[in-house]
Amino acid sequence: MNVEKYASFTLQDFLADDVFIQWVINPTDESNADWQLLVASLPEKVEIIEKASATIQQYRLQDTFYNEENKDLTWQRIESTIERQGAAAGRKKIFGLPALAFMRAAAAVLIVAAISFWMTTRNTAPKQYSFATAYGEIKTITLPDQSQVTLNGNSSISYAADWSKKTVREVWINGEGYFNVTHLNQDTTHIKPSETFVVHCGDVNIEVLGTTFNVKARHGKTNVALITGKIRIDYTEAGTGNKAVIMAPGDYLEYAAKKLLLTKKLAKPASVSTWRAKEISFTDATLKEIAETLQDNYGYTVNVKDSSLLSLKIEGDISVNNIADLLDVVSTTLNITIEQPVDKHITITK
Amino acid sequence: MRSEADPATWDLFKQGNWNAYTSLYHNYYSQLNNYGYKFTRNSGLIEDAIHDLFVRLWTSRANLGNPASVKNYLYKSLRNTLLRKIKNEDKYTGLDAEDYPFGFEVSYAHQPGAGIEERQFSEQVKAIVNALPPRQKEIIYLRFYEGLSYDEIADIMSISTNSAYKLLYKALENLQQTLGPSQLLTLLLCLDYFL
Repeated sequence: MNVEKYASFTLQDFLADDVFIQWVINPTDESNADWQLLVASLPEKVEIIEKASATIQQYRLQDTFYNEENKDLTWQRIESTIERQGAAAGRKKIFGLPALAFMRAAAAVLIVAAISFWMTTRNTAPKQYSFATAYGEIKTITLPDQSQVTLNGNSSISYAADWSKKTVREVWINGEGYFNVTHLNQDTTHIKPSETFVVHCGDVNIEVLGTTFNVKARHGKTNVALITGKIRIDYTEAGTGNKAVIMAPGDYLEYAAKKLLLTKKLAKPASVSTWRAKEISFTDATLKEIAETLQDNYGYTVNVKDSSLLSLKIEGDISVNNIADLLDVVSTTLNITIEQPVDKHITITK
Repeated sequence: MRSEADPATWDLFKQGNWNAYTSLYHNYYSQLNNYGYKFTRNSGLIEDAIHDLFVRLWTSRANLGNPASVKNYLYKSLRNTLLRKIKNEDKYTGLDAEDYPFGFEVSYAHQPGAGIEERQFSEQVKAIVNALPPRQKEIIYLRFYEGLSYDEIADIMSISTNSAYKLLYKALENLQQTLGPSQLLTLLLCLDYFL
C-alpha cells in the first residue's frame, strides 16, 4: 500500500478513497493487515481513519426493503407475460393469410357451440365457491386467477367457480382478509374488464388491478389498508350518493353507516396484516378494540363490568403469539383484573 | 459484492437456459427492490419495473452483450425503467416533472440498543445525508452502501466518470459544510465516546 499517498489525507479524502471504502465495507484478513501497517507508520491519522470508518458504518445501518413477500407473485407475473408473448409470437407464425378462412369457419363453429352451451346452462345458477374459517383459524385460498386471499378467523369469502376471460374478477367477503391480487393489466390506458378485480365488502366495493391490501368488515364497519399498488373504493354516502376514493400505498380508511369516518396514512402499513403470521398485534389499541378482536376472531365472550374501562389505551405496539400472553400483557399494562372462570369466557374488572 | 458465478450464469441465460434466468431473478430481486425503494415508496411501481426489466431481458437475450458486472447492469436497467415510470405517474398526478423528478431517500429505524452518544452521532449522519440534493444522496448510497467505484457509478447514473468524481466531492464538501468546523468538532468528540 502506498503510505505516502495517505500521509496528507483529510477526512474527506478518506471518504472518497476506493481502497479505504472497500476495507470498511468488506474487510478481509489482507486488507486488515494492510491498514494496520499503514496506521503504524502514520499514527497521527488514527483518529481521522476511525472517524471516517465510523461515518460509513453509521450510514450503512440504514433500513432495507427487500419486499420478499411479493417475490413469488412478481415472478409469476413475469412468467405469465413471457408465456403470453411467446404464445402470441407462435400464433403469428402458424396462421398466415391462407389460414384466415379456416379461422372464420372455426369461429363460426365456436359461436354455435357457445350458444348451445349457454342455452343448456342458463337455467342453472352459476356455480359458487365459498370458504369460511372457524374462530382462531387462518386459511389462505388461491383464487382462479392465482390471486391469494388469507382469511382471518371467523371470516368467509365466496366467488364464482368459473372466471371467464371477459368479465370482472369478483369476490364477496365477510370478516377480515388480506389480499394479494395478481396483476393482469398491461396497458394502463386500456383496462379490460377481466383485468379488474372487485372485492365486495358490506356496502363498499374495492376495485383493484393488482395489489396487496387488508380488508376488515365487522360490526357494520369496514376498514381497508393498502400495502402496495393502487385501489379505488366505491361507496355510497348518505345525502350525496355514490362516491369514490383512490387509495395510495400506506393509506388507511374506515367506513360505516354510509359515511367515510377516517382516512389516514399508516406509519407501518404491513403491520395491519401481522395476524397472517398467527401473531396477535395491536398498535395504540384501546381495551375495546382488544375485546372486539377476542370476540370476532377467536370466539371469546368478553364481559367488562365497568364500561369506562373500555377506553383505556395501551400506547405503542403489542405483539404476542397467543391469547394467554395477550391477556397477561393487557392486565399488567392497564393494571386491571382479567378472569377466565370458563374457557373462552372472560371477565374484566378494575 | 460480486458473485463469481455471474458471468457463467449470464452466458447460460443468453443461450436460453431458463434455470439460469430464474437464478438471476432470485439472486437480484431483493437488492433491486432495496435500490428502487430509495426512489419511490410505491412498491407496486418497483415490482412493475422489475417485471418489465426481466421480461425485456428474456425477450432480448439473444442481443445482449456481456456486461462487466451483471449486478450493475441490472441496477442501471432498473433505474432507467423505474425513473420512466415515476415520471409517468407524476404526469398523471399533475406534479412537476423537473430535471430530476424524484427524490432519493434513505431511512433509519430506531436503534434501541444504541447509547446516547451513538444515537446523537447517528442523528447527525442522518441529518447531513438527508440535507443533500437527490443526486448527491444517490452517489453517497452507491459509494458507501453498494461500495461501487467511480466508473461503475458513472455507468449506472449515466454520467461521465469525471462528473461522478465531481458529484461525490460536492457531496462530501456539503457534508463538511453542513457540519461546519465547530459542529464537526462536536461530532468528532461524540465519536470518541464509543470508538
